[in-house]
Amino acid sequence: MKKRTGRRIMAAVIVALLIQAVMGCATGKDTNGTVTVKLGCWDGEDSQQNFIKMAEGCENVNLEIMSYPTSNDFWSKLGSQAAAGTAPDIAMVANDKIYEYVSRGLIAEIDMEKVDLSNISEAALDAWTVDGKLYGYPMEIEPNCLVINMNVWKDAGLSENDFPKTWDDVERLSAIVVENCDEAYGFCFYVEDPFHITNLVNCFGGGWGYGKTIDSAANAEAIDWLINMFQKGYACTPAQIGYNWDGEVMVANRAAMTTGGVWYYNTMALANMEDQYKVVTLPVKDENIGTSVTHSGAFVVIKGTEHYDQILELLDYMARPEAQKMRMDVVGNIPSNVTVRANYYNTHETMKPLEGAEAGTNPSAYPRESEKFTTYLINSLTEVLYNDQGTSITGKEILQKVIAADDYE
Amino acid sequence: MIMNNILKKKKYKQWIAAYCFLFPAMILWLVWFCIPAIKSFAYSFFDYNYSSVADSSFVGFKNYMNLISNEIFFKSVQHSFEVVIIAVPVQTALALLLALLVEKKKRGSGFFRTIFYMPYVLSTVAVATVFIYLFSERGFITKILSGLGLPDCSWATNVGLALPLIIIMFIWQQVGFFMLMFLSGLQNIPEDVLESARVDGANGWQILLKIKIPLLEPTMFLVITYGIINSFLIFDQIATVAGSGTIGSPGNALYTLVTFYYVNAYRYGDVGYGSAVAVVLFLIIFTVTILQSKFTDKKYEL
Repeated sequence: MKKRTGRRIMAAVIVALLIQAVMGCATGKDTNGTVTVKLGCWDGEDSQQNFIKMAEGCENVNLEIMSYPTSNDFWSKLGSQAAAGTAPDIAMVANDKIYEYVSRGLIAEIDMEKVDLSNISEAALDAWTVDGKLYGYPMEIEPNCLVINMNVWKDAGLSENDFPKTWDDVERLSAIVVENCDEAYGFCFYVEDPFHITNLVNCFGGGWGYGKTIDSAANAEAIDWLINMFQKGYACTPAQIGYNWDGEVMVANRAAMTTGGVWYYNTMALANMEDQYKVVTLPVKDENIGTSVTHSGAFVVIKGTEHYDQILELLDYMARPEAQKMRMDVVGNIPSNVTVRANYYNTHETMKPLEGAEAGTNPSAYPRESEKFTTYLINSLTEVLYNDQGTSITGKEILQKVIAADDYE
Repeated sequence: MIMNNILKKKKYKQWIAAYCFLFPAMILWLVWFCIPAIKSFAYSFFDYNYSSVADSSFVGFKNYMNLISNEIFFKSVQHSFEVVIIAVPVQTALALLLALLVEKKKRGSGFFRTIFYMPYVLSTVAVATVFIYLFSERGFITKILSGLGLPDCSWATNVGLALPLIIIMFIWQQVGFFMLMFLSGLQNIPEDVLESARVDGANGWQILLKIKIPLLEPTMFLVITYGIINSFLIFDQIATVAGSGTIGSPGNALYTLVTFYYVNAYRYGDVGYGSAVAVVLFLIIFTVTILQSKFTDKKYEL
């Protein structure tokens, strides 16, 4: 009898726990009326804590971080998580593939009537607008740059007067670096990240034109330039020499130049290399041709999320000047709020050469199926760059192969 | 009559008890295997996307027709078969060899059994990180192999060497598990059979070829079948090598059927097309296993 009673109590406890667990999964609303908003995030610990601090004090909203290893993991899981009702409510993402995310119905429109965008940079808002609708609450807008490792630069016998202005300069200076330094390459190109390829083709006056100009002469010329750099042994990719991304290559003094952005500010500070690098605006084909790609980070609202209005309140709160300044100080990114960004270059002197460089930049302009397009592009390019048998394939042929692979619709 | 009723009642109770114990496992099997498998088969005939389920439409065999015209799909099939054809014989032979080496309870055999089994329980991420390092430009193993004429470059980023790196890593991780299976098979060989052979004057080599290996046939079947299935399902090693980059890179050299499925279903959000790949993968594994069973001409239960 006692045994039975014990079993019944045990069963009741298990059932109660299960009900509790199910109830816990079912709602994002806490018992005190506070709404919990989940932020999908793959940033480092500093940045994650910074987000929490930015949200502190927002009435009735509690911000919780949902970590992902990489942005790729986030986007790969998002569809199934959304279907299962376990997706985060918001995420901080870059604007390059916005066209695809919108057309796949992954992110919700930001109701401009419900948020205060009066101090947000026009260029940042443009970067997040598709067909007249806003799909991200911009937090940052930044120019891209060429990062120069001064340790390698000086070892090669070069000075600040030699900083490159055109891609021909980059090739010529890379040759000098390779000739004078045993361990270092002239140029590091992070080919696994399509952002860098897109920047390069834009610098040559090209661009993807939302799929309409993939094999343009300017794009082909940029790819030819890159292949030539690898064939001559002037360039490397991070993976080729055992690193995860170009920042690590620069910290290890294995390359003199790389294409990058303001995130280098933090990377170099963490490696105690603040004084050992310089940034300049991205080189162009010649003084009349070439620009870089608009890079903007924004909070996006995942489609189908509950508490839409409270989320917009939270985003407004997190974009207030004090919060943006806090993020600028910790992460080093350039805020979207024009009142805060005005002060950025005073406090981040290394980045001063980039002041105003974001004006006139182009959108990434990937085709609608951006993920598919960039995967084909990277694989077609690595097939050539990572082929030690040598190849005579041209940039034009690579791009035509990418076009032939799919219609990206 | 009464006795019969008691026996029937007892049997009925046993039957109920058996199903009570089986019930949780059956529910899990239904929820985690049967339903997804059936759904996946159904999705393969739809243009299906998780984020816009309402817009799904029936497309018949279109997803399968698109597969046939996709060059990368055929590359993926080729790479999957390459992994199976190379990894299965090598890991089976190595596992058998290791099992024979540590079979006898000698001093230190327990230590070596643990050492050989260890890679199987190690995290793939950790293993891949170490392998990438060892096989990187100027890496420990790359340097040694460059003496044999291989290029001193990072294998993970070389179109011709990326897949061999994955296969080496995969074999290294799997071999300990199969060694354990062979070990269990060897320990099930009756001692009196081996003793009789020794009394009849058979030497070690003859005992191995004429007694142990024939008696290990059911284990061999199991090892090869599991090996084939695991090899077709290779994914973790490739995903780790890709890191935050592009799965399949460099130059599509690391596309297998599972990575091709993953990229299409999750990266591109084309669940219908991905499901068609999953169905093809299932059919390939099913056919190969049936053929293997016919080839060995014996029926073993897995």
